[in-house]
Amino acid sequence: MNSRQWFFSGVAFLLQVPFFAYGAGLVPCGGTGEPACQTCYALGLINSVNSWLVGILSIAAAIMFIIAGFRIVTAQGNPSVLKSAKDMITNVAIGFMIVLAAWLFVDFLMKALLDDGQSQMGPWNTIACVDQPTARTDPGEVSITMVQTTTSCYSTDDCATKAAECNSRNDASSEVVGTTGSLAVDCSYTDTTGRVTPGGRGEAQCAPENTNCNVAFLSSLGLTDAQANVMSCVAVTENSGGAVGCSGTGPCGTFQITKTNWRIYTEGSNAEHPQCSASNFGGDIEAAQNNGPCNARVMASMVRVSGYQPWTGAHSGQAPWNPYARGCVNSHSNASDSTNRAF
Amino acid sequence: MKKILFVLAAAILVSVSIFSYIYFNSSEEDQIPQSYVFPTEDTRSNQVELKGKNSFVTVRNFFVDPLTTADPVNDGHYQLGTYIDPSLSTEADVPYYIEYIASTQYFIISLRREPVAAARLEAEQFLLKHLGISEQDLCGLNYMVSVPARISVLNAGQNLGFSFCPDGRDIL
Repeated sequence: MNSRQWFFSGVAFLLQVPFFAYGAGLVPCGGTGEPACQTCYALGLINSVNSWLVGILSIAAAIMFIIAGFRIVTAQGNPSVLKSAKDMITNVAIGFMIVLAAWLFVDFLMKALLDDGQSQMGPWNTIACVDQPTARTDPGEVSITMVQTTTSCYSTDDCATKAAECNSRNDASSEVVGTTGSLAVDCSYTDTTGRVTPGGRGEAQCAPENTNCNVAFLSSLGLTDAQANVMSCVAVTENSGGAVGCSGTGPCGTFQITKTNWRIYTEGSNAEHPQCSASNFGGDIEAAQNNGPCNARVMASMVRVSGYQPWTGAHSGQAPWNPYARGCVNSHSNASDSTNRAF
Repeated sequence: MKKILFVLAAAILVSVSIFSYIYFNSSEEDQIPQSYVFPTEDTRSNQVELKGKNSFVTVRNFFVDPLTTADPVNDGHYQLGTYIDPSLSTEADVPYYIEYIASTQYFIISLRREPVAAARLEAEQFLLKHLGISEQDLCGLNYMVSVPARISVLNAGQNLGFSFCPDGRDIL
């Protein structure tokens, strides 16, 4: 076999190895838990194939060099074998150089083509498609409204401080409610500051750059537009849109999902998201809950099954768990949203 | 002869690509090429450039700062300043939590302790010092400052902004 035949035989051999022939991940969109496809991903596909081929050919070239080196060492001075091995090194070097040059050329071309203001070209050869913003952009209503809030307090002094904070507002009145160990300050006041009214329209949502909870990402998990908009807003109120954080010993992550719910959707033979079970995170359920993509997937399943209630509900006769979650529903849901909106 | 032609063609291709790459990038120095994200996880240089709202902002390379910790369960996410261990059920008592998403160069600043105004001040001081930038530059970064409802019902549900930025909101 000449060196060219050796080279192509090597590539053909590598393609038989499952690792190298594995093509999953080349199309980075449209699948479960992946963002919706957009034009940018077509270029991403080309780039992925390009990088994949370069990877394969780099390994093939390295193997060819090793074979050629081995032939030189074992040639025992045979001039024809030596020449053949040297030719092999030369041909592989030239071929590999062409591959790298082509890679660089394609990389440059794609950088030039992708300058559309939406897509991002990363260092060297990576492409990051930015989710298309679909979140509402209007600033929401700014109004003068009577606001009612309930804030937990932990001691007589703490409650007095929070009541004083409340009383400093316009037309304010406050009342300490509850019993020791479960105290809260009920506060009502007139909002004349011009800020967006709490609980009213215009509740903040995760920005498009926040990959934990932006609207496009949540839509890609199968939520409707209304659901994605509502839950992007809920994420801000639950954990500031951040991936990590547990309150108390139960709820954790972007959407503050309880361990009970986590187990329902990640454990057992019928679980929707077994890849998010604690066993895949070293047996650590908090680590699983605090994984952003997993938290969002479990949230999406919960919304499909239970609507918004896990976030907007309350224990009987008590203040809602998260009054702002109700505000999110009021702000971002609409008449066509058939999601269970019961509080 | 054939080999020489191959080498020559490859060399020309490489040269043209490198030249074009340098030319096109240098000619856009004053613009904001939105299609390009600088490598921000570089641990070799002293400074990194972040894409801000309207322009690039050069900040100290916070990836080499010992107060920057890679999030062990979220690839490409970092915690700055304080650290909340994602494997613990009880959250550390920290005044703020700053999450940086490298792929989009976005800062999430979550205030985690009352009084919220003091927590925001601490987060601001930390970022100003550790990014080594002015208040104006900090305002120009892509970020959200907010507080979970479980911490402060009065202030949750909105982007509070930084206190010194034009879009900063009063904390109740």
